[in-house]
Amino acid sequence: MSAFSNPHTCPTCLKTWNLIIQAQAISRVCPHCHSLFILRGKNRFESQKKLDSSIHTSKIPLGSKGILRGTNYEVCGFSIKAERGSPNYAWREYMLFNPELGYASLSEYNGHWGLFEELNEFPRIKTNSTTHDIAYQERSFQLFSRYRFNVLKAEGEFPFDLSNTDCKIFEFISPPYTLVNEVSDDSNNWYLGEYINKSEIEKAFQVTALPQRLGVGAAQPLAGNFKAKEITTISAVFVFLAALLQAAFGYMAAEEVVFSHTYYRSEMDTSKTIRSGSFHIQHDQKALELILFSPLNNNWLDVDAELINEETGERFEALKSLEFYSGYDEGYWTEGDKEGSVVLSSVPKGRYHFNFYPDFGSPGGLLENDKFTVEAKSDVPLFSNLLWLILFASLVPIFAHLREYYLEYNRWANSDFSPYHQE
Amino acid sequence: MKKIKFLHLYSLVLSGMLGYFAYLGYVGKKFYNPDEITEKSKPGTRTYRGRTGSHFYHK
Repeated sequence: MSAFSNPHTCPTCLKTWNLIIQAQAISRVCPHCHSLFILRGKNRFESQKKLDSSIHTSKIPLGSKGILRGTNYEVCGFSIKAERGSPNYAWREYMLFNPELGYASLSEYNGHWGLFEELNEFPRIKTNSTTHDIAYQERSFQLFSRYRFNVLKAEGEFPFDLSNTDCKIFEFISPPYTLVNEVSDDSNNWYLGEYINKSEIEKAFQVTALPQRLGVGAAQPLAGNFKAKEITTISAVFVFLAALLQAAFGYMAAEEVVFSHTYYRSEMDTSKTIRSGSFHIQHDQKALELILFSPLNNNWLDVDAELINEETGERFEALKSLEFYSGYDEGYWTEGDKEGSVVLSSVPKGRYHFNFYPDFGSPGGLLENDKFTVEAKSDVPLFSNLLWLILFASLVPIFAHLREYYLEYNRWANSDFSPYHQE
Repeated sequence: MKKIKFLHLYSLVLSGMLGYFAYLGYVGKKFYNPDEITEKSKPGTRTYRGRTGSHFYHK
């Protein structure tokens, strides 16, 4: 019987299975009895050993066909590998075959998948001996892991010697890409992998119940596929534009003093109201800033100010509290302010007067302190709006940076080369 | 595609914020102005005027 007859009969268990890559196979593992055969000489497969058949089975059956990233593939082999010395650190690899393009492999660890293809050209690599980083295709890859491996289980056909595991693996990441360097005494191969969502695989091979994702994958891109740096740049541009606008508002603002007067408590009428004289506001629909000052000394003053348009009767009202306390307690201390201001929004031009309803804090206070000065400025720039905009424009970048840090920290928790301080 | 969508959406939101900022600056209005008493913030009567008791140390 030919070694390449199809269906193929396993010499060990005499059960049959379909060959896919046939003469290209260097290794064959019977999917029934898990006997490993290696090609030795022309058309002669030599029995090696039986691989473990007790552990996890393939989630994508041998012979499954599908279109992945635009390429037709057929699953020709499946293996479970583990880091040498750490059998619990095991991952699954599916060998994919395309008759025209050759081979690719799907690797899965903790529900995170990568599609790998061998690089036909040797990458031009700039090495940095201090950080282990390499540059490839204008991306910087960081060393993530370095290990040797054992094959725990396999089934199907492989275009390489599955029994030869005498090589070192170096994995470099630049999410969503991974560069893998397989180095042995007589070979030096490079593979480029890209993170792939399990939904793509389920759709391509019509399979379900693929493993759920656990933790952060080595090459897993950030959800939403945006970087905090990009968000920050966009926010900075808008804040800069807002600052330019604010500067323009400041430059154009007249800041005209339209009213100024000092009032004493004795001027209050029986309804405890002080009516100001009339004044004119020329600037239409602009902010009016009311600045209050009182020579307070361990006292407080509330002023309810009502701005009344004498032509239309329209009213604008604001309440401002001043308080100032001081004393000695292990040194001189003060609290509060003798001056404060309040802004009345969008005041139309016209003739106005104020009605003040002052509330003096301590009736028994010094008479000379029972006074307050009022100054009103029309068309003032509003700096606080810029601060609010900066605050809002900072929220998303801050969130994006925190999210990125959290994900990167967890990603590198699985690496011996973490740039983060991890226990 | 997702990347374009999110960054565009975020730029759109910021553009809206910038436009609103420009509007507030033009009409002379503070975004947050707790001292100003408007029809919305007025509790209905003038009797609340002055200290309402929230500053307990003046009681």
